[in-house]
Amino acid sequence: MTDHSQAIPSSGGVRGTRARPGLLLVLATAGVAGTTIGLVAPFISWSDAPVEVPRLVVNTMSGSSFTFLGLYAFAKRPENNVGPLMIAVGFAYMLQLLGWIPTDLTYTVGVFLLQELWLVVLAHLFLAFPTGRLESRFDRRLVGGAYVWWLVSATLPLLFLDFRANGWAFDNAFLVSSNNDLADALGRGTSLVTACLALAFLSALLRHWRRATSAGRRVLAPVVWASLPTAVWVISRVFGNTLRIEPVNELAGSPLGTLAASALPVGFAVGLLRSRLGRSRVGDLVVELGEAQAPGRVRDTLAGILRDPSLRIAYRLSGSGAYVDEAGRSVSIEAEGQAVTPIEGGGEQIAALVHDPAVLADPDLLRSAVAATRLAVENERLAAEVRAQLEEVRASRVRIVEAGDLERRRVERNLHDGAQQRLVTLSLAIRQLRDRLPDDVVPTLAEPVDDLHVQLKRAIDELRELARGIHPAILTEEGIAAAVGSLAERSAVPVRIERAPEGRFPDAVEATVYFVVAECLANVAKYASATRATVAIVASEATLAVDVADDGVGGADVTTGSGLRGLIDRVEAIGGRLTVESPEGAGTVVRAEVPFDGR
Amino acid sequence: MLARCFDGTIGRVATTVLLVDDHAGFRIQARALLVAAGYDVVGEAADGASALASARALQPEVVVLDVQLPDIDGFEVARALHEGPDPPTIILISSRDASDYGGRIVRSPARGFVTKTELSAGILAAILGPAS
Repeated sequence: MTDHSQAIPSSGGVRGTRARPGLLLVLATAGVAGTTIGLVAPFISWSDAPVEVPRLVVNTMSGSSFTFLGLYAFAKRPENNVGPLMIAVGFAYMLQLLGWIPTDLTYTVGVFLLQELWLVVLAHLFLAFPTGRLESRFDRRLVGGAYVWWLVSATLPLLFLDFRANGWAFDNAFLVSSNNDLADALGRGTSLVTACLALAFLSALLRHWRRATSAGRRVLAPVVWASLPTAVWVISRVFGNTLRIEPVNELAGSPLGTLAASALPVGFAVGLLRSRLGRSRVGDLVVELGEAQAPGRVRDTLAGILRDPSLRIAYRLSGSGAYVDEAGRSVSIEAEGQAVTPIEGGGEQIAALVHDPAVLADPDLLRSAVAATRLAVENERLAAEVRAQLEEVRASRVRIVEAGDLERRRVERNLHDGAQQRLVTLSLAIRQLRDRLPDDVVPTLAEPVDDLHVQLKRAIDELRELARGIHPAILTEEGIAAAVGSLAERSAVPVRIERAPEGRFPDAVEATVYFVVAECLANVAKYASATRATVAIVASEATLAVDVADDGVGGADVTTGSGLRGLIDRVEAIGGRLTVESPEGAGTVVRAEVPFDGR
Repeated sequence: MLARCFDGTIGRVATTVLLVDDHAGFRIQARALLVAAGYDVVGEAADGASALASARALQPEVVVLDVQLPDIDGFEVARALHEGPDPPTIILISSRDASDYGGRIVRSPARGFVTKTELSAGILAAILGPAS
C-alpha cells in the first residue's frame, strides 16, 4: 500500500492545487460543444437512417453527464483524479462523434475503433475510486492490460472487415484483406476474452469492497448502488455479442440500457459529495470537546466525525520526538495499510493521526476536524508527556528494588563461601584437637577446649542467622511457602500459617512478601505483647496477597520507627499496596498485595 | 566387610570414601576426621564435574558431598551419582542447616544430611553403620 502522508497546514492558508479557472472553462466548452454536436449531427449528416429521438437524447446526455459531473468533481477536489477520470470517460464517449465526419478514416475510427474505449476508461475510474489512484499492483496490471486489449481487440477484426460488402456507407480505412467470416470469428473470439476481463474487473471491485473499512464503504456505497444496473447492462451487452443472443442484444441496445448507464455518474458524484455532509458535524465536535476530557475522548470524537473506527492518535514527546499514546506508553506510527497525517501546533509537530487512507478522500473535512481538535490534542499531549515521565520513574523504582535484592543475595553468598566456611573448618579442627588430647592433660584442658568449641559454634550460628536476615537461602531454594514456614518456626510468638500457595512466583514478588512477613513477625515479637499470630498468603492470577494478624495491643503507627514505612515504600516500589489496621487495644492486621508484573 | 588378607588372617577392610568439597581447608580437617574414625579416604574432589569423574574411577562405597559446589548443584550431583551402576551411599553436608533446604533433602537420594559443624565419627556411624 503506498504511503499517503499529507501535511496539514497549521493555520488558515490552504495548501494544495486549485483547478485553474481557465482549464475548467476550456473543458466545459468542449463538453457543451460535444453535447451539441451529438444532439444535432444525426439530423444533418450524410446518414439517412431514421433517428430515434428518445434514444439519441438519452445516449448523448449520459455521455455528457460524465463530463459535466466530472468537471464539478474536478473543481471541488482538484487534487483528486476522480474528476479528471470522469471527464475522460465523457470525452472518450464523445470521441465516437468523429464517426459523423464523412471520410473513410473518421468513419472507421469513430464508429468501430473507438466504440468501447469509454468502457475501459470507466473501468479505470471504478478501480481508482475514491482516491483517484490505482492502489494495488493487480489493479494497475488489470487496467493497463485492459487498455492494451482494447486496442488489440478493436483493431484485429477491423483488418478483415469489408464495409462495402456489408453495404455500409464508407470504406474501411484499415482493411488489409477482405474476409468477413474471419472478421466475424475474430470478433466473437475477442468478445470472449473481453468477457473474461470484465469478470476479472468485477472480482477486483469485490476485493476493494471487502477490504474497505466502514469509512471507505460509506464513500463506495453510492457508486455500488448506481452501478448495479450498469453492470447488468454491460455484461448482457458483452455476452449477447459473443453468444449472439438477439433478445439480450436488443434490450441492451435499447434506451433502457443506456438509462441504466447514466445512473452511474450520479453515483460517483454522490459518493464524492457525501463527505461534504460531514462538515456540519465539525461544529458539534467543537462544542463536545469543550467539556471535561477523559483520556481517549479526543480520539473517540475524531473517529466518529471521520467515520474511521481504526483511527488513533500518537502524541509526539517534545524532548525525544518519540511517540506515545494518551497513557504515556510508547507506540509506533507505522501501520500496515494505514495513512499517517501529522498534526502541528505552535510551529512544531505535536501528534500524528494514524487512519484509514479513505479519510484522505475528503481533505477539507480532515483539515477542519484537525483544526477543531488542535487545542484538545495539545492538552492531551501534555498529559501524555507527564504520564510518560511517571512511567519512567516507576520503571526505575522497580530496577532499584531488584538491584537491592540481587546485592543481598550476593552478600549472603560471599558470607557463606568466606567467613562461614572458615569458621566451620576451625570448629572441626578444634574437635580434632579435643579428640587428640593426651590422657594426662585431659582433666585440665578438656573443659576449656570444649568451651572454646561451644563458643565457636555459637558464633557460627549467629553468623548463619545474620546471613538469613540478609537473604534467606530457603526462599531461593524452595519458595515462599517453605520460607514463611521457616520464619514461623523460628518466631518467638507462636505463628499459625493459615494459607500458603505452593509453586514459585517472580523473585521480586516472593522477596517482598517474605520481608513483609519477616518484618511483621519481628514487630509482633517486639511490640505487640501478643499470644498468637496468623499468616495467610493467597495467590491470584495477577497478584500475591498476604495478611499478617496478631492479637496484641494494637496501636501500630506507620510514622514511628517500626520499619512499616520502609515496608510500604518497598511494596509500592514494585507496584503493590500495603495497609495497616491497628486500633488501640485490638490487635494489628497488616495487608499487602503485590502484582506480578510490577506496573 | 570381611576379606582375606595376604597373611591369611581374616580382618575387616575400611569403608572407602570420596570427599567432595570446594573449600580446601575444610577438606584437610574432614579427611583427618574421617581417617581418625577409621574410614579409608580414597579420593578428594573440589567440584561437581571432578566428583563424578572420581566416583567413576575409584568406585567408592561412600561419598561425602557438599551441597554448595561452584559448578553443579550438590543435589544434582547426588542424583547423577545415584543413577550410575552400583551407586555409593551419599551423605550431604553443608555450612547451612537442614531447614535452609526444606524438602530438597527429603527428595534427594542421599542417605543423610549433616551440618558441617556437627560432623563427627558418631554421626557418621549413626548414618552408615560401623566404619570397618
